[in-house]
Amino acid sequence: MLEYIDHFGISEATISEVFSHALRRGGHFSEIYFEHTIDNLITMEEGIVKEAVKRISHGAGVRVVHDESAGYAYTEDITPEKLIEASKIASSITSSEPVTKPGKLSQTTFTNIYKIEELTSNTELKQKIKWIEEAEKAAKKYDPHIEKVTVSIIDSLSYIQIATSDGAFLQDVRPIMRIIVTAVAEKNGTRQIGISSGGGRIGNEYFRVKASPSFHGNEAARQAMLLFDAINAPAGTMELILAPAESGILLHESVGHPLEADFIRKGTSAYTGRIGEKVASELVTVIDDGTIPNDRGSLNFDDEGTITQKTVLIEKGILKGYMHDKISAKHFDTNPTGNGRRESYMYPPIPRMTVTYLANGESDPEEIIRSTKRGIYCKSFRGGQVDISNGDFVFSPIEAYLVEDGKIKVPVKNLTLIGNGPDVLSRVTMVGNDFAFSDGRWTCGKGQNVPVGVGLPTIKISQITIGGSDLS
Amino acid sequence: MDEYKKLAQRAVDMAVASGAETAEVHLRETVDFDVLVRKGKIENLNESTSRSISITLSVDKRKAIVSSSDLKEESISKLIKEGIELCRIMDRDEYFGLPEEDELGSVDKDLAIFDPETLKVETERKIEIAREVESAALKLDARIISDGGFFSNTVQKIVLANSAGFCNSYQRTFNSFGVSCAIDEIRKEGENTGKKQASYWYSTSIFFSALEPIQKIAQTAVERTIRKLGAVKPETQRVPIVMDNTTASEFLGYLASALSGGNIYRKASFLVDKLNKKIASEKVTIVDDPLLQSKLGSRPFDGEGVRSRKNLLVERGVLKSYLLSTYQARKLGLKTTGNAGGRSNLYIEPGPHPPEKIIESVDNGLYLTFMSGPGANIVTGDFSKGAQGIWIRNGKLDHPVDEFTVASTFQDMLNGISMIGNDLDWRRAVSAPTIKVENITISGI
Repeated sequence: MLEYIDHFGISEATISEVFSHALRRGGHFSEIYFEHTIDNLITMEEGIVKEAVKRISHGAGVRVVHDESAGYAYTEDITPEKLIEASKIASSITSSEPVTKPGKLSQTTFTNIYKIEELTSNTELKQKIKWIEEAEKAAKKYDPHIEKVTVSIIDSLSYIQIATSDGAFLQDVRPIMRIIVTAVAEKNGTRQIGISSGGGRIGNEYFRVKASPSFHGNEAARQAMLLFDAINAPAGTMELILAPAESGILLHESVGHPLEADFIRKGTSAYTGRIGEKVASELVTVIDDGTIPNDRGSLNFDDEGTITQKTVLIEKGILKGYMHDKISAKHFDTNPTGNGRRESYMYPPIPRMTVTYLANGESDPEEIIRSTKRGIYCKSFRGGQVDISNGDFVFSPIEAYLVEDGKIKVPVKNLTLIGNGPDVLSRVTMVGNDFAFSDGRWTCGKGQNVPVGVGLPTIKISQITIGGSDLS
Repeated sequence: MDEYKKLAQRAVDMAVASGAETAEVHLRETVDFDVLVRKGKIENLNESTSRSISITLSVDKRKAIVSSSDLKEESISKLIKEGIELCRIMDRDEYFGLPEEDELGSVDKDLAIFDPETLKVETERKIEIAREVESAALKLDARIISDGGFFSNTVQKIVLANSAGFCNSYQRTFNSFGVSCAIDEIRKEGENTGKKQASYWYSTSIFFSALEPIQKIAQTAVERTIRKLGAVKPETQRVPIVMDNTTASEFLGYLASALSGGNIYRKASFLVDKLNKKIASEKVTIVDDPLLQSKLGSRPFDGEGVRSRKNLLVERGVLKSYLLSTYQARKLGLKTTGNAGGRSNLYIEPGPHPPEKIIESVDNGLYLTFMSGPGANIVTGDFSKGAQGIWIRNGKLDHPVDEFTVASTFQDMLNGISMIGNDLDWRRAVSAPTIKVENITISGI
């Protein structure tokens, strides 16, 4: 495990003093979140290493919770005085007699799931430049039509310390890294763009064990070139096949967000009050698991100090559970699920996904394609969005093909797929046996950005609306 | 403020003394307050002050950026030293440099973007506004499920100093409040249960006293929610669409990105090589104007200290200018437009038509009120988005529609703009009136 270094210099006595101020006006619970993060970015563009960026974020936030009310304030000047000032602001949400006394702190133990061989954040820039050049070269070499290539390596290292008024005390070092290659190709006056990206809570061994820089260079260029041969996607309803891994974005949008328990607690989600009901085809089992080793969405413990876990959301089509933070867990009289997350010390935690995936099935992926009369086969995605209340979700493929009479045919472009969460999941008619996690490239934005993971085997959906522009 | 200016200047001096050829220092202090009230109780209350310094350094035209939330002088000094080390490893970029000296400066005109009253509003009053807007919405219709009333405000100090002698600052304020509502959808035979419809409305203003009436915002939020009830999926077809001023503004936001100099020199925009060419219907004129009084995007200088000026981007359908920083301009052989950091107040010039008249002109088409998903590709111009709205029949808003997409290309949509409304709405810095676009593919049933 990476060595934890204290960047805050705050004693246990100070923490307990902060809590006594925080709970003075009747708050039930309080926590202090300390963060020291170093972000690094290096970018090559137009064949030159153009920019290096280093950013240090240092701050601590105090939250006071009273029933379902939460007050939050942070400071970037981590001193006892400033922390007490923050705790007073956060405590202003209530004004009653104190009911809770802070407990004595004791260190919580956990299993480390970020197994790092060689930390990217400590790597010499010269080595990063070599990888960047390798990726750039691969993209350029792919085709003479490749016009502009941009490659970045982004890494960050966060020292996190959480103390809670009920006595939990946790310290963690969270590493994360990612490579992104963008290739723009020009052919007969038109342009296409391809993007390839990957990483995780992993070190430089990513390039050796998962995907090399040249793989990403090659992949970005391949995507861009492929799109020159793509035809406009059809408009109307059709069968849909999703390739493994990245297509997990469908789950993230269609059921992931609506099962985050803040929406359930407020009664705005289409899945409110439906535990035990059938909400999907019996082939569908959906899981959120923050313990997948080295995944971009995983955490040793969440940003409220709850150890992460595997949570079954839907089991064989039946709604089993929601993703909780401490506030929603208390509301539903259950345990938090390790889904209380935040972007940084500037934000209070809210229920968020970690790594959300659809469990493996039994069908042969080849058979899934063979059984399709006319449909769309999607391989990679730009992203998606959901309307929590009515359940409508969209996702936009980058690489997709027309399928006719059981065979994958021409690539298609310019399409957004739209469906209704409960509807679409009840139309899952085949689930493949080729499950895979997506490479680590996803960031989810729900007011705050957090890294997440997704996964899926090949699946078939009997009907969905394909939002292309071709009416013929 | 003077203290921050001194610190910024001090950082520039330290950078130069440490061997930087150029240095540009951004210093920012932001005081944020926001409160969300649900069912009359505080759901969240956040209040904090954040400070940050960001320093762009170069040595022999090799560039690095370092930033931190720690403003102690010894920390800044250490950061600068690390930045200079980073510079030495970078490649030389001959286009890099500070703006020309005659471009640097701050406009004299008072833009009226700072409201001293904003600082004085009592926390209790702010909570009360959030509570009142929620309770007003709940009173309007018993079916409404509240997703909360909110109030937020921000006071920001911005300082910029560089090694060419520029050192200036300004302050700005921002106030907003609003309410989000949901409502149970009418259940149809054999349908999945649990479906709801949701919407929201809000007011924004530089000046606390210029916020719109609470009742009006609640009313609009409730109307926008209720009118979605009973939505059906439309048939797949090609029709004219009327984008309300919210979705039209979102559309303009994508254009801002396509017009940005960074995407132009990277060849990542469908507007590459289109200067002085017709890119849109001649009804379309697009302007970026940082000098407007009391607008959210107004500023006296841009992100690198270039004096603000009004820019005509598209004039009667012809592309006249991109949004350019000094670096982007040099890459393209052009001059900066004062848009380092992006657009300011970007708008489509309003036309003569009231929105109702535009709707009346459509026999069979869509009134578009919401778009979703990442399906706007500014490199190719491909456009395909999830959509919600109201179907127009014989010139009248007929019934709500959802779970469908709208698709075309930016090129065709810009050329297909046939009517422009008179309802420019400055609650956002990117603002377009209602617009009618011909020939859009609706993909539904």
